[in-house]
Amino acid sequence: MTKTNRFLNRLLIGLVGLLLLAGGLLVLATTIPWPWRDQTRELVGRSAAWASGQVQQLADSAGLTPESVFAAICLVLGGIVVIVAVVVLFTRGGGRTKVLSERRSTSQLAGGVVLEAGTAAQVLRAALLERPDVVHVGSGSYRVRRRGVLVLRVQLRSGAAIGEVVATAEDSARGLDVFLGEQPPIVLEIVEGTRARLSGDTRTAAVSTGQPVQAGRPSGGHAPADAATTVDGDAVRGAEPVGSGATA
Amino acid sequence: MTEQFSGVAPATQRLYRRQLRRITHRSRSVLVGFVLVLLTLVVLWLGVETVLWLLGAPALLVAPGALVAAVVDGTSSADPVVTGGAVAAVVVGVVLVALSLGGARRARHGLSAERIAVVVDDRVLASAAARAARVASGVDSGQVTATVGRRSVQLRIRPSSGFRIDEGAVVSAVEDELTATGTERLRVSVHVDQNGKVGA
Repeated sequence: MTKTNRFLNRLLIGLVGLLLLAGGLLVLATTIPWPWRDQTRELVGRSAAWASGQVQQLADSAGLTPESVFAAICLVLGGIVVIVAVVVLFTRGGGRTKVLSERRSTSQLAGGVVLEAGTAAQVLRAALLERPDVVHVGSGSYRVRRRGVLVLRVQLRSGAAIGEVVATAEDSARGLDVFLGEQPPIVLEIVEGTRARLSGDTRTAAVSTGQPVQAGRPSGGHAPADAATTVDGDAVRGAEPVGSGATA
Repeated sequence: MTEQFSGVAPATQRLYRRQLRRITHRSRSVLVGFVLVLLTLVVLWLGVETVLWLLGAPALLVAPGALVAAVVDGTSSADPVVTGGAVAAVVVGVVLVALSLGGARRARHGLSAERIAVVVDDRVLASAAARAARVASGVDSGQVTATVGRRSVQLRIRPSSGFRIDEGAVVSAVEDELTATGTERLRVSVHVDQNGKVGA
């Protein structure tokens, strides 16, 4: 939900990867025995000679030694790389805000209405926590496309009826809309966290026939197209050998 | 079937779709940070080597001139350090290019809701599917394993010895659960083990 430019992330990783790939292949092509090694060396040698000539010309025109010019070029390029790296590193994330919406008075009277995200979050959190299958509700708010977006992270007990939880959140959001006279964007993230894992099954009606299952892969890994999340009740209780991917 | 985001304005619908995509995919920021820190360290090292070379001092690891000469002249063709370094660079380069082009999908699914955008962790989804399958098949807890993939849910049921499992009923129950959840696009399949559990 942060403002991180993901295309820039891809671009940087791809560029560094391509540079490493090209550099590595170049060194291999000139050092390991293969049919085109001599031709490759010759090509690289010609390119190096051309670059050396350019440095020489630059040194002559500036009245410096070629070594100084070469070192200066290296240091300037290195400096640019370091500055870009530091700027990119310190501009990751961001975009958090406390204000969900802000309305200025359209009449001649001064003033306006500012809705803090915490207030809206409190309304939704109270409604969700009334449900016995909700363990915890966290919240955050971000500025996306000049609008405040409220994000609620809900931890459910294992086997909870997700649809009913979503319906509760939707009803609360609609109630909030009526109260506010506008529709602030709300994102609900339903996650399985430590609290949910340790909470046990204290619900009654929907799962009264036994303990629902829970467990699975730890969050954090990439999930390719065919990747899957496995949940196995026995994995939690350790009654049987844990299957592939289950960690609890 | 709930039409996704039908209860909000078009601008909010666009915002929701964008956010759902961002939430269900990784940002790669950690990897970028790691790569950039390494790159900065390498550049700083090269800078130090260059300064040492200018001063005529011995190199820390290898002088920039010697590195260039190794490539151009092929003088270190038998040097395993250079070859090993090059192979490592190629491998890391391929991995980084693959990571930059890959989807970086997270184990999450976006759900259909009208007013709000909803994303659910696959483990929570698998847990709900397993519960529905267990109730429909009448087995005890721990006899159902649910696996949620990108487009499918696989259920593995170990029946109680002497009792038959109605696979159609299980599929139907899980599909109903997923529809109620808002993830009706997932294909449900059930596998019932040949061996039953005695005393369950």
